[in-house]
Amino acid sequence: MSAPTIARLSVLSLLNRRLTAGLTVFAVAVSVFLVLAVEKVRTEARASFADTISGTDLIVGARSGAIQLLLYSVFRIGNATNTVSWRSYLDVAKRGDVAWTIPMSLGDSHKGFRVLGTSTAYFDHFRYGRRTPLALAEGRRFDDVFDAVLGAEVARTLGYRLGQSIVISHGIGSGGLVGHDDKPFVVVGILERTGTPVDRTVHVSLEGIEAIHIDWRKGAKVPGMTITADEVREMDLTPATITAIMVGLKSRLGIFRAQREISRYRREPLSAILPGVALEELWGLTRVAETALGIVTVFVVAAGLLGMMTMVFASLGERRREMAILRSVGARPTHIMGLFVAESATLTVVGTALGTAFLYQAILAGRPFVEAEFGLFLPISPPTETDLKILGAIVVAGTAAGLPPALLAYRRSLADGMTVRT
Amino acid sequence: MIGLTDVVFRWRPGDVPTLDIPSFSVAAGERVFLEGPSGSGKTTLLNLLGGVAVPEKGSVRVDGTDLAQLASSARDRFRAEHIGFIFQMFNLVPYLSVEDNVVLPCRFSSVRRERASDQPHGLVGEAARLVSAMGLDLAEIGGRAVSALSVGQQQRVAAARALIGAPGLVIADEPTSALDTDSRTAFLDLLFKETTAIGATLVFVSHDRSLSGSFDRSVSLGDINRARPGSSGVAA
Repeated sequence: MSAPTIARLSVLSLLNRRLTAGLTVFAVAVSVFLVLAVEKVRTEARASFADTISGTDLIVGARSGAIQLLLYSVFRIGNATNTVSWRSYLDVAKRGDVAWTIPMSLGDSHKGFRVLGTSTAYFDHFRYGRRTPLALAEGRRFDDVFDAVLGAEVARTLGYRLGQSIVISHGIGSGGLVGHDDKPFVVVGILERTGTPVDRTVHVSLEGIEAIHIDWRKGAKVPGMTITADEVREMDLTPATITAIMVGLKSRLGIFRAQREISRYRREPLSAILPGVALEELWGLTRVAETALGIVTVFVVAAGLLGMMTMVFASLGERRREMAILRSVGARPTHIMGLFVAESATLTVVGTALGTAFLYQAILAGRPFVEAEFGLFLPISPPTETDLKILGAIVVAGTAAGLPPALLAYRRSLADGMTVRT
Repeated sequence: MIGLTDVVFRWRPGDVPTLDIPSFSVAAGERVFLEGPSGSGKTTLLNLLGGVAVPEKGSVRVDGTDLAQLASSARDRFRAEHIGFIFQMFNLVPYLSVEDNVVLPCRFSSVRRERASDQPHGLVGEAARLVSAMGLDLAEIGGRAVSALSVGQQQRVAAARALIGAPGLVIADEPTSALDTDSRTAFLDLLFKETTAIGATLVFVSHDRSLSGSFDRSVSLGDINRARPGSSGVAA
């Protein structure tokens, strides 16, 4: 009979103390928001990393660690320590169990965006997400030596259209780089947005990469040696080295055999990695940081709930008379206790709901920035099972935080009875 | 209605007893003036009658029920059902409306709720009727925060709350001490009229002897209580 009465009393009492109750709810909401945001970024970063490449069975590069190879070949993070000779590439491509290969040549950039030299096999075989192929939003694939196909983000950020002439810089970075300005490229295609590092990449042919370096040796232009763009077209532009190879096998069953054999290749030290396995290794590295971040957010929530407990405790003194009145009209001490527990529960539930609302607001507002700065697409999606578990745990913890003040109120109302002895 | 026999109460074992009442009774429908200066054990007696405290020895009977024999939750239910209280001041729950304050006992006692709901205008109508019977204009004060009411108005609302659902016993603890003489008399008249209307017994506790004239009987707590709690330093 009295449960709805108690619930109603606690809500009315909170409304009567709008300012302190509101601030408490806000504090809880901020902490809930933080927890959810960290969780969201963590899962979306993982999903986004995992979605960056699919359908590629092996990645082959100069011998190095699996994570390093994965990072520079797929995520365009860091640099290759060594190169793969063209001959090794041909040997890999010729293997009987290999269905397709994508040669990759990295090391140049355009206004901070990486330039990838590759072949048209890239457009045929590269897959991301759920085996989604690349698609052109405008224009066509590269065909001529000096054709370039832009990722969606490159075109958007730099405001490039088809026909735009661009100069590729030697090396990676955004300033102070020497340009290959004697051999400009022309934008012939712009890719659809993928939500992967492809969006931030300028794609040219391997021959294009070779062409701009033909009069360069050891990272600098050879003095006095000038070969014009037209002359270069007549030359043999087969590259001497590339950076990495993406490999698709005819049958996934042979994947470990192929990996073993390529890694034991005699002419050159090579590494072959399985992208999924390398990603798992990467998560192993980031787990420590994630755990640390998780612990911090737990403390933030604890601080929010402690603040709430303080507020409820502080209200006890001034509400002693109210408790005595309720006792006189027949409330049991357990009702008094229930009143305070209900109050904490209400504050936590409202705070949690508000914090969740904050999260979606923040995603909506911050999405363009996060996407532009970190290449991370944050989708608006319903709370995951983990989110719901977290929210549930917070509500339980918040309700439990109401117990100490409730117990004190219980003991006081037992002692006070119907009259406050002052 | 009330029967105390050989009641002994002390706050802590080993203390001087606060109450030691061999015998005290009030008949049904009687209006009793109980004179209890501070330090006479008044608060303790009210807590015993309300079943908030139980005596160490003896029995406290209200309407034929020995409260000491009931479990604490049953005593709380008994209090909600049978007794309406009016205190000295700050009687109202600050965040509830006048109407919500008046119907509050009906939230804890289904018997009183049913009795009040059976009145011609239902629960809310009965609350409104009692408020105006106590001389208040609900249309005028109904929308106000109860803390914005004058002390006299608050006491009348408290009286309406004590009376709703026709409890058998109304206990008023210094309800008029914060009022001026004129309002005091008017308040008493209305309280008498309404307790009579519902056939309730009235125990009116006060240290102001001048009010005792209009009651059926006047009793001094000092006379029925053999203990001298004031000397032990326990506030009452």
